[in-house]
Amino acid sequence: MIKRMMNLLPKFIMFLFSLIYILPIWMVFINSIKDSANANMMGIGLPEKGVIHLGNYFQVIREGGIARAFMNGIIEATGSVVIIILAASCCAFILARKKGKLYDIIFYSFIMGLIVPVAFIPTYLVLNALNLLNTYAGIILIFTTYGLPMSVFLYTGFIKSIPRELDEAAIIDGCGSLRLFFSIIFPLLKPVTMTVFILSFIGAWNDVMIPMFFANGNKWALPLTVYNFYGGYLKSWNLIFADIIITITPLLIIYLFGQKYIVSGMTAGAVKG
Amino acid sequence: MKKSTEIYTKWLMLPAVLIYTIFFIIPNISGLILAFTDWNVYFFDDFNFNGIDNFVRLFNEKIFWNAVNNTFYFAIITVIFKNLIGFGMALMVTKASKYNTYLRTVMFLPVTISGIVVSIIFVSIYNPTTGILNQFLNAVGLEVLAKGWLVDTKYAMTSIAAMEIWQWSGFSMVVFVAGIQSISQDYYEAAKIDGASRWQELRFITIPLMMQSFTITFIYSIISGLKVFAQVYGTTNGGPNNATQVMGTFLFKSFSNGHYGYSAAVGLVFMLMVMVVAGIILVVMRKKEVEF
Repeated sequence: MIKRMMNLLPKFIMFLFSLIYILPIWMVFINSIKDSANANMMGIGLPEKGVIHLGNYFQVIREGGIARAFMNGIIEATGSVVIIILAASCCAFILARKKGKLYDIIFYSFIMGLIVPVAFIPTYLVLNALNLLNTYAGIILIFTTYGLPMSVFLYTGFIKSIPRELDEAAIIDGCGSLRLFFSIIFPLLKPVTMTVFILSFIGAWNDVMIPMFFANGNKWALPLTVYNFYGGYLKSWNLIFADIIITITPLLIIYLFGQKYIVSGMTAGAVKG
Repeated sequence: MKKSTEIYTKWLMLPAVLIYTIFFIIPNISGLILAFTDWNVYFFDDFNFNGIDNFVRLFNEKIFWNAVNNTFYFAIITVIFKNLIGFGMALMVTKASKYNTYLRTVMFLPVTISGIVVSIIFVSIYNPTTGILNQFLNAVGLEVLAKGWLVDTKYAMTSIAAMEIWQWSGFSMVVFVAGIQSISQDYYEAAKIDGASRWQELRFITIPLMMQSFTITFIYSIISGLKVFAQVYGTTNGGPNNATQVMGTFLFKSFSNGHYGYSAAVGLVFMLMVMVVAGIILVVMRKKEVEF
């Protein structure tokens, strides 16, 4: 009996510990369906008399520019993810297969991008010179730039594990190098592509600095609508919380379905070094 | 027939290299030049080289040193606790079971939330009167511990660090779990035969063989700690009284003020700071790694 208790104790402690991670999100959710006065108390209890105020969500969607921000997020995140996957996989294919100083330099300059913070002023000038300030294209290209390093790194590691004999066999069968890559190599990269897709999508969806520096409010995505609400309705936490739930739900869904790929992607460096 | 390396055409690299050169390499190199000019939004078309004036001005600014201090404080605290908590949790949840999958899922969940959103959630949690943290402390009779978490200059920086630790300790955990799982069971069996205790197993097998995971999480958390922006911007925006001013917010402020040359100098110093620290850690950690 005592031994059984001793076995359960760590599990129970871990359960309490996991509450620390759940409670804040529960608090946001439960207050997003209360009326303004109760939500401002920020309690974690159920709504009074079980009345659910879904009106908060309608009000946020109506007044918060949610639809536009949602579309902005979709356009910017999807656009950059597609370019990242195509450009990074092509580039990594060559980096993984060829040897030489040039390829080392390119690889290490990508690694630098993992460390160096965004150089905002000069980047602003480059965008300005190319007439890309405050455009979707500009934001997409900057997201792409800062998503490339990790993606090139992940793809290069994976492609190195694909035997070269495969390439040679394809060439003998008359494949050109473009066809070799797109019809033979690229399909094999599916697990990494999934990881890159999810990591880059989360990165772009959640980032606030790049849109804040390089575009006006009408190009901002969901996370910044929360901040705008917070400024405008300081007393209406029910609306802020409803906005937060709307903002985090898409990613929570992606996370729950793509967990395997997120975890394997984020830990790829840990196993490969 | 072609020689085997000639089948790989360099041109496949072009899109990635081109985008990266235009939006990363060129800005970073031109940042070097801009940092030595007096260029600003007020005399937009007229800028002159002013030597190291920007840097002299920067190093004489008290708020800058304040920001450097806060940035390092934040980075160090978060690195220590993200990794300690993450490692502790990893030891508890490594074994495959339904319950552990639940724990891992829940603890990793905050990683997927935008930093700015987490900030606003914590503005509410840290609210001195209605926030759940102080309400909880009052409920269990620890009123003395209830503080004005974000409004008190003494606690504001630590409170933001605690929030960052909450969000990212699950990430360290997941990296550590992968590290522990990659250690061969043979080592543990051999240790059992030699009569090693659980502590000795941890000290002499688990930790040395997962040093690579530590390298990754250390580097990752120190870089994100030094680059912190959204977490501070969303909670205190550098206040109260610059108590939470960090390099990220300081840079944003100088940029918003329109002093572009000066701001480029801030960015340059910031970049060097992150690179030097990351470089040192990388060298130190690599030496500690053990080959399998």
